[in-house]
Amino acid sequence: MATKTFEIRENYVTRVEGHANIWVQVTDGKVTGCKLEVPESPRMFESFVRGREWWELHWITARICGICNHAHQLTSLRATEDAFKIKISDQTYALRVLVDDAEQLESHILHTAYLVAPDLFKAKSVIPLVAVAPEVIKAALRLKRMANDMFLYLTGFEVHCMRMCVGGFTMFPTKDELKKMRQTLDDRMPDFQLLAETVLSVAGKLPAFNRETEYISLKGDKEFPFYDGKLYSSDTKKAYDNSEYEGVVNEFVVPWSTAKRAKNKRSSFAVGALSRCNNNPDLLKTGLAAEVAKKFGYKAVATNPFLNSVCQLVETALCWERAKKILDKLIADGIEKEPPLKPNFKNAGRGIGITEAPRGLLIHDYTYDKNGKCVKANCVIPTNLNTGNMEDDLKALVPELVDQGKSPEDIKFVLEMLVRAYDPCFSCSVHLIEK
Amino acid sequence: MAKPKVAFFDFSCCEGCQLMVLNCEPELLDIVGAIDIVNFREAISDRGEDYDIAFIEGSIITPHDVERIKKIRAQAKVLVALGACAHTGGLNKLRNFQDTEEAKQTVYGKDANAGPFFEVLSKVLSIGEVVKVDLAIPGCPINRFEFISVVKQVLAGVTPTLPNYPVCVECKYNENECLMSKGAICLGPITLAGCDSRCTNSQWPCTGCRGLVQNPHLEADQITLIKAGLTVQDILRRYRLFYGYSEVVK
Repeated sequence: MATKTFEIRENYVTRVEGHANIWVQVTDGKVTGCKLEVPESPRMFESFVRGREWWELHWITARICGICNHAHQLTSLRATEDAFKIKISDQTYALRVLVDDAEQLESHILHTAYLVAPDLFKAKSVIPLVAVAPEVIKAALRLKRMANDMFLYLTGFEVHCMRMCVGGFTMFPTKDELKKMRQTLDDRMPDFQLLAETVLSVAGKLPAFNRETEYISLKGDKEFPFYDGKLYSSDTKKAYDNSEYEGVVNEFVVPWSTAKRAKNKRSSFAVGALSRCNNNPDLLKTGLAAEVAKKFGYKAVATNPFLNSVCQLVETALCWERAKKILDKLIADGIEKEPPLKPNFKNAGRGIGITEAPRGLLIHDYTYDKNGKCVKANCVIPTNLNTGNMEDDLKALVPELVDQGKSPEDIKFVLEMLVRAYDPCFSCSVHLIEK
Repeated sequence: MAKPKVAFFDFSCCEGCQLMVLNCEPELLDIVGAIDIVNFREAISDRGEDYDIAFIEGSIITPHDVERIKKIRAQAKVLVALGACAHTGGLNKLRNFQDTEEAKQTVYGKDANAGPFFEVLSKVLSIGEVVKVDLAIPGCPINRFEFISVVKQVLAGVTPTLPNYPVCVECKYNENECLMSKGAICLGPITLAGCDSRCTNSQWPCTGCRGLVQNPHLEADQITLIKAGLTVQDILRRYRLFYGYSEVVK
């Protein structure tokens, strides 16, 4: 049948960070070609950070990505501190976890409200939704501002902040600011509930598509892992040391993507909120996160990639409650103005930092010389890890959509939704700091 | 008066400046009400090619980028460079101090020329090095208040002006203790203000993201830095971070 032979080419998928093209060729109902192209211009961070100094690496590598800039800084600092064997204080650790929670809040709200929600309402962007659901959009704006204000108090700025540095912080929030953040988390709760309810009301529009894959994320012991945890694969059921990461992510290059690909046990694997939730079910059993998961019917292990947005809401709830707990403790104990710990160049060597950026596993790996200068760097970015899995999803999803009798135009819409569900960050993916 | 049609385009960068536009939460609905956004790929699916004002983010890195920015210039009545990568080339230009092929191989190994997307210009360029830029909003990332102020002025038909004094002026106004007097190396004395000295307010030295102020006192700055124990190479390393591949730092 004629309608079962067609080609889809969508250059520059919208409402994602960075550039990606979808190309699908269907002949007689069979997928005869499918590529997720990443034509993002290579920026080559991994090359040009060589020769830069220990104190500025996080300042430079955060510029890989504007959306997950705090995650990049946190990971970069872990790598540099590991390279010089610096052990940060308990207070620094607590503040960094708090910054990480704010990062997840800001990014997840941006993704669900601005980038994903329009699809569920069949709108082209968040702007037409202002007329349809003004209260929800205003709530989303207030939620994003709440997280951004947390950055202003904790790190000095919303994008490419300045207060986080090797060995600690250059400045600290005042007691009043801690209290303000704590109060706002209470005040904004109805806004979060409104957002979650709204997404829930249209969640039935998320395509019912399941494809089991390998889920890779950090795995937590007592705390849900963002800033800390062990590298873990759902296929091997094994936790890995940081130093083993290269044998897990196995990056390689394909000609149609300047973002590298990755694979472990299969042709591809997934990272991100869905992987984290699938790999850490025991840490989602209580509190608001459990409530949200229950409302949306999420249960580990879920194999529908579109549920990534639902898992982001579950994580938003989790970060919300953890942020409250950390703030309560900081307010009770008071903050000590600790000067940042300085590196001892004699200890210089290789250091690896692994954290969970909002969109998945993020790894920075640096080697420093005895003058404190970087000689080698490698950054492994979640979107690189995910692009192979997205492509494999597209290959499995297209025949299902063809069988359902959907038009090429409708298929294109769903494929774009799929790419968006991963919350990709294509400009991140071609950063490049390396070997 | 019809609402002006505005488009946002991104080239090579982290897209943090577009994000700063989205971070104007309290003002966002007013902005959206006053202008007609026809193209903003990071946030909107519609793609109009009919626009009056184009905000450009990012640097020019590939031959394809050159063609694309020329087409945008031909369409736009006003072209605004948004943020350091567009304005000076930003830290993308650190690559200009390295051999391009060696840099590519460092990153991609044997696959350095795997496909057409891997083709890059031998030097990273700012937007102004390829087409005429009517106005730049500097910074890495931009100051969102400055962005709003520029939008307001453009809407009112006023030619926006930027401050032309160094960051030190704002830093003093904010009553910060001078970081140089505490032994830090700060580029505030030669860097264009307008950021409200946001880095030094947070006890982080200025790294020059807004570019050089007009007629900077480079000689005096360099004498001060050499007195502080820096070598010429140290000074160049700092200047190169954001000032781009300009004559001053070649």
